[in-house]
Amino acid sequence: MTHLFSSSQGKALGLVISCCLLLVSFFLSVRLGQVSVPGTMMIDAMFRFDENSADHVIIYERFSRAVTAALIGSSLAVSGGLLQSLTRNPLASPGIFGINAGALFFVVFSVVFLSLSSLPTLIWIAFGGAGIAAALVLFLGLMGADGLSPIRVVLAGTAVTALFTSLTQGMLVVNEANLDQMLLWMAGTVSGRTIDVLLPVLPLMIGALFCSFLLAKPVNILVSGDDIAKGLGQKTVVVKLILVLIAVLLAGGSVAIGGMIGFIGLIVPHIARTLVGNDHYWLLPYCVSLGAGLLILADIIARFIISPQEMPIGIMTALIGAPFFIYIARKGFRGE
Amino acid sequence: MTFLQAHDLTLGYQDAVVIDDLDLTLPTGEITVFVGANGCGKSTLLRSLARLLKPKAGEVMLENQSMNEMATKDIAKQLAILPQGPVAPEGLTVWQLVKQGRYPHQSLLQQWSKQDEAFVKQALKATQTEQLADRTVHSLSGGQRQRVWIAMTLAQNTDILLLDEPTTYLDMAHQIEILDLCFDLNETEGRTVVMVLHDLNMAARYAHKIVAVKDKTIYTEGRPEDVITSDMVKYVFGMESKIIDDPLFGSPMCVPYGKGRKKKKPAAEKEIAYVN
Amino acid sequence: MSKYITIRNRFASFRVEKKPLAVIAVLCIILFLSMVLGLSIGSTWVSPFAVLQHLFGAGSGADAFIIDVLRLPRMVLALLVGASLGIAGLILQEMVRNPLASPDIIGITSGASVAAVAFIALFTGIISISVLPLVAMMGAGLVSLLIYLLAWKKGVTPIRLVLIGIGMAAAMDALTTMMIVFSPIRTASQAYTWLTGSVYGTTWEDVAAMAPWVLLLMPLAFLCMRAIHVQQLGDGIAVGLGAKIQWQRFLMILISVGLAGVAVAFAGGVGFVGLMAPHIGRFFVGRSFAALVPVSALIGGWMVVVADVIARTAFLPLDLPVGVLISGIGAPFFLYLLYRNRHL
Repeated sequence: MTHLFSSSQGKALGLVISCCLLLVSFFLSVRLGQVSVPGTMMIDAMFRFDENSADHVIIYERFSRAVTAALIGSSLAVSGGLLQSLTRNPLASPGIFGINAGALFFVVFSVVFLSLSSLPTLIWIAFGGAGIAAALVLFLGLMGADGLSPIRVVLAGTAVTALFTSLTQGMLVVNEANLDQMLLWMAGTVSGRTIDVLLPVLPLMIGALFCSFLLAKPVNILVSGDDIAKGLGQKTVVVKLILVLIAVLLAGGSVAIGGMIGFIGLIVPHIARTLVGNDHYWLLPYCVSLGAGLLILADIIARFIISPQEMPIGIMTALIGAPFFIYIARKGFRGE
Repeated sequence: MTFLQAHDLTLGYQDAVVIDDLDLTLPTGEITVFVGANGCGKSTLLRSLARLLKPKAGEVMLENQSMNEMATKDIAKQLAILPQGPVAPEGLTVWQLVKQGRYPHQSLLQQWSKQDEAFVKQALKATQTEQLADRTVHSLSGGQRQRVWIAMTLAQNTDILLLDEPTTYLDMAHQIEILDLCFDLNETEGRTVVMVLHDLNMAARYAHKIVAVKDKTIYTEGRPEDVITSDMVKYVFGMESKIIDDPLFGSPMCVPYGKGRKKKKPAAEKEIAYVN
Repeated sequence: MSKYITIRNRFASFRVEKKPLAVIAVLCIILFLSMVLGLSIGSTWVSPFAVLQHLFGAGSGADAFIIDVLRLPRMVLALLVGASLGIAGLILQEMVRNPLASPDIIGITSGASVAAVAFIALFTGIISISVLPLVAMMGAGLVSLLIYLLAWKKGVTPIRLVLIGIGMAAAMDALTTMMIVFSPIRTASQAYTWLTGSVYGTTWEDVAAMAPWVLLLMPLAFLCMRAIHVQQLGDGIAVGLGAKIQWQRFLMILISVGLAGVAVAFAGGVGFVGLMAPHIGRFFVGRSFAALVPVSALIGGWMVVVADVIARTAFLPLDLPVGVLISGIGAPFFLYLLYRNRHL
């Protein structure tokens, strides 16, 4: 396989470029919307924030929103990249692992039956739900005689998703009043997430992102196969568990904050792979910068595509992502 | 008797050409074995002879008729193929598997004629798998499993039998068992057998004709006694060897030079030095 | 005594196993008893004997409305839906050589959903709701065709079909969600109930519209039998035996899309019957496809009938969509199967 950037310098340069693109899209995300704000106003708001200025409030909201999108985008991309490597399945993504549906189920359950509504509490509940779903899928997918067949994991994920989805449906059909409230969350959104809401999960997710970089080396070995990794003296079970834990933290946190945002976790690792190949030292940083950039861009498009209304960002990503997924499936991949 | 020919055959996958403009006639009522290095295209060639792979150019003739123009079912009545490493669905019994060999002879209404039953039983008998009939294919050993798959192709009752590496993954005793079975099928029933084999010595012992594939085409073909020489082995497999007579059958036997635990005999030392 | 009955004459020859015949008979009896009991219970109790009398034309007429109008059409539709999904799932599972395939997985349901929700969201009040089944069926057909065409690359392989189906399903689900999000709450709720799958308010007209499809397609399922048995051995061997695999595959997909499409059209997104029924069938009659067709149909039909009776009666005065109950039971079963088949 040939990659766009083959030398180390090339890869570093590419990373710098993608980071620059990220910054540009971040800037555009703050600037563009129903009301455009001039760049000078942004600098103004940054250094002399005035609560009473409508422009400044808009800027604060858009800034929060861009940070949220960046955080979710990079987390989902890294989570997807790690899970794809773990299962050696290019179709693996947090959504396909049932993490989204699991989180959704527990959130809806808490809203409907426990009448919880504070975002920070729900974020923790979504974490838990994501973990349970992921544990189920991995339990079923990893225990096959042949180690791990791609289709097994995909189907196990589909089943877990279906289980939680049907239970969620049951609750929502009976409690029509909650349906409206949950729909937006189901479709994925990054609006209205201010920095102070993010604060409790922020350290956890950034910590998990940081840990994922430390995993680059063991994962590089793991992708060449369980037997080879064991032969090289790796405790594969421990590595896998840590890897899953991190992936679930990242994806669970994302779904908790932003709802069901599909396909970022699937597309971005693939784009990164075509750019820099399978070396996780490079792959993961690329996932971070590209994931963040793409989700911010999708968010900007979602603001304008059906203006004056806003498209839920989860739908935006699925509509961009599905054709790509089909393209990969047609092209064929390793293991087939 | 049906005979099989290839004219100007070009084979490949996507853009890669594996076999280029090859002509071949397979002797009727004899055993032919394809040999060659890994990835030389001998399996591809075999698959195309059984229309599993469509040629990029050229054609395969079955009894003076191009296979492209024949109904696939009619081909199946004259020619059976066992591809490499077939996998049976879980829970399928030997009887159910062998029965499938009758597929080309059946129709929507004729699903289990007396003939069908007779041929299935005969196939089980020929492969000595009658007593396994009710066991699942998965519960069998490798050698038994291979015999059952061959039984399925026998139930097809064709003049020509194509086998792709039928002895792979089998221990030496089971390899001989399978090859003896092919020998008997040829000897007693006069079937044309075409195989891909990795073991040159086995090929030399059982085959009437050897076809050595190299560089996208046939390097040489003929009786094992005529074609198996140290030059041919060197060219086709890229390996120095000495050809001696099989002590049991007198067929050619290839002994590779390579290295060995024991010191070489002085005569061999001299020979190797001469070759180098 | 032989395990088989062999039929041979000048025109035809078959061999039929005896055991499945017994299983089918038992299933028919269980189904009949369940239906009688199901017709009895509800907000108004009608004794089973009265139901029997009524069914055989000797009833007093007092319960005619409850049975003939409220309960029986709904039950018959549930039966048809379950049977269709059972067979559709069976054909797909056997064709894909994967015990985990079902009509939902290859996008038939999501195609119907997208069309149905679009109809509910855009045309409610403009065009009669009775067109909905037709719209849903067209959606299922179109999306399945699209999946088939996308999976085609010098032929269709089962794995590519499944994967592309999953991808398409994701895109369709996104569209469905989008439409629901942008609809008023009444419409959203209606669409959501449709997605869950429901046979609420079935009339005899619905039954009359669905029955011909099922009666036409079900016998065709038997035609797949030989193709399925031979394709199970792998593409290489199937071709070697003279099977036209691509053509056979196309027909099989067509039949299962037809069956699943018509079921989804009339009952909405009823999930998991197509997955479960064939598996339960295999416990009883093994791998023989000929036996599995009627057995899967009976089990599928029985499941939907019973799930609907529970959905209708257990949460009174609520009448739950039947789909909630089926998936709630279906998904854990699916997971259990995965666990059980872990050494595959």
